[in-house]
Amino acid sequence: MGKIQQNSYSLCFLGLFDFRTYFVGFHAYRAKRLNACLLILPHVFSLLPPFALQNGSVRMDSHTFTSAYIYGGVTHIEDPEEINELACILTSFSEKLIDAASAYAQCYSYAHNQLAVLSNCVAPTHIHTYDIKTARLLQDSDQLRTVLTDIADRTRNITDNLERSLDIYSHAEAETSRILQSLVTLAMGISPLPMALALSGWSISQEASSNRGSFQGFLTNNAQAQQSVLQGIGDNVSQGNGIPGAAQALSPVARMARTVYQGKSLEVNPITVHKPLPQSHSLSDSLSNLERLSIGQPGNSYATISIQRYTHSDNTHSWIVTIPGTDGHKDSPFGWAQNINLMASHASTRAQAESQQAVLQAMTQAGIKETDEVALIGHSQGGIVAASIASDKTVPYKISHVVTAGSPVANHPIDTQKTWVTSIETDHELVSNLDGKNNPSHPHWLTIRGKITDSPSAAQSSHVPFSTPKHELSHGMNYHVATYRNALELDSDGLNEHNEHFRKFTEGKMDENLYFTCRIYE
Amino acid sequence: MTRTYFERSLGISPQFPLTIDSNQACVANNGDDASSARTLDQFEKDKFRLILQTTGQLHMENTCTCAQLYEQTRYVTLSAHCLALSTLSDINNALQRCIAVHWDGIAGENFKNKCREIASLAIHCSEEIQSIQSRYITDG
Repeated sequence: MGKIQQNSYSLCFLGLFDFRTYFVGFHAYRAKRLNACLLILPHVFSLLPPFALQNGSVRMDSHTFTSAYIYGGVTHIEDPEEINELACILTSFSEKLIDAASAYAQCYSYAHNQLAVLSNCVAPTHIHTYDIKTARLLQDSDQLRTVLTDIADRTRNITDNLERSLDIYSHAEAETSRILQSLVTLAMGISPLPMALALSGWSISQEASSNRGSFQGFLTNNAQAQQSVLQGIGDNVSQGNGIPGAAQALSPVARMARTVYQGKSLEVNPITVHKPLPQSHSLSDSLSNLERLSIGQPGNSYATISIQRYTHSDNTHSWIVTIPGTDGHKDSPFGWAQNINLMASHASTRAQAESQQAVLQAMTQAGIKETDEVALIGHSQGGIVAASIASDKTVPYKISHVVTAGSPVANHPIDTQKTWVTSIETDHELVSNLDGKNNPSHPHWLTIRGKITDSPSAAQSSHVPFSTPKHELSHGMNYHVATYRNALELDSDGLNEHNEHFRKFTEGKMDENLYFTCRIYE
Repeated sequence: MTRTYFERSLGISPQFPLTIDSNQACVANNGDDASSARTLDQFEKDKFRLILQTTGQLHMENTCTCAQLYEQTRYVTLSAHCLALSTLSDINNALQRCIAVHWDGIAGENFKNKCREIASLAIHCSEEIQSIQSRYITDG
């Protein structure tokens, strides 16, 4: 995808968050004109290439960083409250230690100035004595400043890790998010225009003050508020059923539009690729495979599903199904409109999405049996498909693990007793916010959320390779892979368990490495 | 620019407003000559007041000898030692509590190992400071 095309897709997608769209829909709703509400649909569709924002062909190193925060999962700490308290205490003491280091820096400065004064003296003996003493003070101060700073940094690092891996602030964040959502929904109901202007003004000021400012940055600055706005609109459109209800209501129109534009004959065929994805030994490997598949590195074209079979020592099989995101091609089942169906509240409506049907057909063709354990891993729409299949009780497969990257799956009713879910999201990608709420926090549902920054923060962050010099949507797999790798450094009980659960799928020998290309015809 | 500990807590800046007069003694910018320099004893009595003075006041009032300068620097160093020692002790106590937390598994063990490592550094640093501190007290 060329840069211009990519940018145009980006801009079009971001139009989805154009508040004018919401105003039209909202006022139409208030006027009880459901048909008018639906009129905004073509506008939304026309602006909807969001999930194609993967890895653009124009990539260059820049200074974008991500810090992972982990929500959900298990912990083996007997008394988490005690650790929370200790983390707070250590944070406070590390700041005090920085003060002490700063005091030594002050001593150093004093001594340095004194030496400068002394060096200008025609030195009598007593001055020479103070010269030596001061030089020693200078050296001691510098050494102690360095050591204290090191101890403070190390202390701060372990408390950062605790805060980010143990979900320490999640309750406060959830409460803040709930309040924000209520306020935004209320404000949208009372006075939508000033609300939009306020959000826009704040975002413009943020971008104007950054040397990396961009239109994408302007729109993504309001990600949290937009999540609330979307939820509020979803509630309005569906009479309190949120985004799934709204998607359910819009699904018939979406399906009709697909039938007219794309056709309704789905074909799934096995293909051979030049450079098959390598055997996976871990969740990290499988994420790298997902990234490779998304950018067509194996030599595949768009809408290609990878299915790997692993045979264990006891002759049982497990499977890893890798699912790409939206590509926007006219003959692809991974189109824009399929996302509407996949977000709907009813499993039967979600099952109408051709992308979900394509994955299930590929799984059937690959020979997956009902008793085989299956892990589904998908980016963007691929992740929604994975969550949709896992939450569909009529699907005849044993879906034991779902991994999503940049997918809005919070509303999918996955039975976490049977299926583990590992979700990776970033805070400036918008797409994963389309579900209008945070993912459930559960021992078997773990969410890694990447906080994207322009520079390394106090929290240890990871560089995002190939990010662009200007602010962009953090929806590319490069952001999710960097966020996941940053999370690994946190040494979280929850993530360790999810990694181990996934790793069991990759035990043994990979003896099937299959690819299926999917197309829709009229 | 980040303000230093003394700037925030004591309201003084690192610059010494000093020049060298023709008699090779350190004098302040207000032009006082060396003959008006206070004795070390006087300086000891006044040092708390001096430390708490703002830079502007220091300009106006302080005329000092090299000994006084050294004393002032030594004083702020000893203050830094006190702050560092008490904080290191607090951190060490908190780290010992972290090490005693019931946290099973690899993540817990790794966390405790990091705490042990930092606690060891803190103890070593405290010993070093105490050693330096005793030397300064002897010097004084």
